[in-house]
Amino acid sequence: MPDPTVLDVHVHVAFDAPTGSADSVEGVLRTMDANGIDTAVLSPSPSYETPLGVRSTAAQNDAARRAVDAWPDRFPVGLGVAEPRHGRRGADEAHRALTELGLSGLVFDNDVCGQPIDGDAMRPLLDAAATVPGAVMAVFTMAYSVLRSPFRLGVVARRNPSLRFVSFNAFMDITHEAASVDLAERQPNIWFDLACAKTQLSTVERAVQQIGADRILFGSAIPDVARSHHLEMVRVADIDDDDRALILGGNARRLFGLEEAAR
Amino acid sequence: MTNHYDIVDVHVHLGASAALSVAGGVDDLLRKLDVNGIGCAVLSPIPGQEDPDGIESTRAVNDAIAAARDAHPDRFPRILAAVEPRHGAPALPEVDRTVGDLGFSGLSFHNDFQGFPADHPTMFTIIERLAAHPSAIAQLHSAIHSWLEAPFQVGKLAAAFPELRFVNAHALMDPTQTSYTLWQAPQLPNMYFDTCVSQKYGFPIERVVAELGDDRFMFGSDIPYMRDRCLDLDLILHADVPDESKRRILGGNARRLFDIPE
Repeated sequence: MPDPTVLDVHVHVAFDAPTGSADSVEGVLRTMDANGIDTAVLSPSPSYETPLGVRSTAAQNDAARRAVDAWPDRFPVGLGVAEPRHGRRGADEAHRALTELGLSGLVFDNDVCGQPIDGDAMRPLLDAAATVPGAVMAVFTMAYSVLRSPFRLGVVARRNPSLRFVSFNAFMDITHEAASVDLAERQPNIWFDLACAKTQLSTVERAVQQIGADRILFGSAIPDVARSHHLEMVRVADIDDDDRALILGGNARRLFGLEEAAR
Repeated sequence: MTNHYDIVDVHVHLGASAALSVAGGVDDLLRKLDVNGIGCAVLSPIPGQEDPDGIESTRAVNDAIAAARDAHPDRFPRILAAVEPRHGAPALPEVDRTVGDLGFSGLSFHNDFQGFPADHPTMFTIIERLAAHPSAIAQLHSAIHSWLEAPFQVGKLAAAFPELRFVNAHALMDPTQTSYTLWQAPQLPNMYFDTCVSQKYGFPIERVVAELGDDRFMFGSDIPYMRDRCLDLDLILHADVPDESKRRILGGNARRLFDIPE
C-alpha cells in the first residue's frame, strides 16, 4: 500500500530503455509500488548515451517532461540533465529545461559527465540555472571519486549561494558521511539524500544528530534497487517521528515548493 | 635541451580539455617537443574535449589529429583516435573511419573523462571493433584510485583481446599503481606501459627495469600538460639503469610497437 507521506527524491528513468523494462517509466512505477513509495522526483538516468550531443540531452529532458505530465500524481517533480562537455550550447539546454520545460532542477553525475563538479566547464550550466528562481541541483558525490568528490560540491555551493543543491548518495561509507557532515556545517544550501547509504553504524540517527533532520532526504535509487532497504532504514531509525516524516517527504516537499503549491 | 638519445614520445595530446582547462595547438606541441629534445611523437586527442554535436564533434577532433600528422609526418608519424563510449553503438563506424580509412594506429581512451568505466560493455564492443583491424593499438589511461579506469579494468580488456596490443598510460603514477603494474604485467603480455606522469620518488624506472625488464615501457611526456620542461624525461635520463635500457624506453620500444622507421 503506497505511503502518501513518502516523496522519494532519487528515482531515475532510462528513457531509451525498452518499454516495460525495470528502468523504463513503467518499470520504475512497478518498483515504487512494490516498495510502497507513492511519489518521487523523477530524473533521467545520467548514463544516457549522447551520440547526437546536445540533441541527445534535449531528448532526455523532453522525455522527462512528458513523464511528469503523464503521471503527475506519481511524479510531482521532474529534473532535467545538462552536459558540461556541450559548452555554451549545454548551458542553453539547461536553461531550456528549467524554463521552457518547467523542470524543477538538474541532476549531475560528474563521473558520467567527465568533468569535475567544480570545473570551469560546469560554470555556464550553473550560471544558467542560477537565473531560474528555486532551481535545485542534484549532484552525485562519492568519497573516492576524482570528479565528484564531496569537497567539489562544497566549492560550487559556496560559489552559487542562490542555488540549492542536493548531494545524491551522500552517505555511502563512513568517510563519505564525515565529508557530508563537514559540507553541511559550511554550506547551508546543501541537502543530503540517503540513497545508496551505508546501512550500518546508525546512518540516519547520526545524520539527524550531526546535520539536522531538516536537510536529510529519503532517496531510493530506483531502478538500481528492487527493494529499498533505505526506506526500511529510515522507518526503523531511532529518531523522532516528526523528524522521520521530514526525511521521508516533508523536507522534499518544502525544497521543491510542493507545500506552497498545495496551499 | 640536447641529449644523444633517439626520443619517441608515445603520449602527446592535441586540442583543448574542458575537464582540466588545458589546451595545446600544433605549434605549441611542436615547440614543447623541441624544448625537450623529443624527435617525434604519437599524437592523440586531448581527453575531455567539448562534444556538443556528439559523434560529429568527435569526427572533427579526429580530423584535426589526422591533419596534424599530414602536415608534420616527421614529428607526428603515428596517431591515435578518440571514440566516445557514451555515444554508444553509433560510435562504432568512427573506429573503422579512423583506423581503417585515415590510417590511425588505434584508439585512445581516458575513461575518467569519458563517463563510462573501462570495463563497461560498450567499451568491449568498441575494442572488439578495433581488434578487427590488424596491428591496431588501444591506449587506455589508468589511475589506481579511479573507479572508471582502475588498472584492473584496463586489464580486463587486455585479457579479453589477447591479440590486440594495449598501452596502459600513466602506469607508474604512485607507489601503489607502480606495484600493481609490476603485478599485472607478467599476466598480460599484450600490455605495454608508458612512463607518463610517473612518481618522481622511489625509483620507479629502476624498479620496473629490475623486475620486468626494459622492453615494455615507453617514454610519454603528456605534452601539453606542462609549461616547458618534461620532468618525466629527466626521470628516465637520470635513472640508474643500463644505457641500453634507456634507449629502449626512450624510443626503441615505441618504434617497434608503433612500427616507426628510424
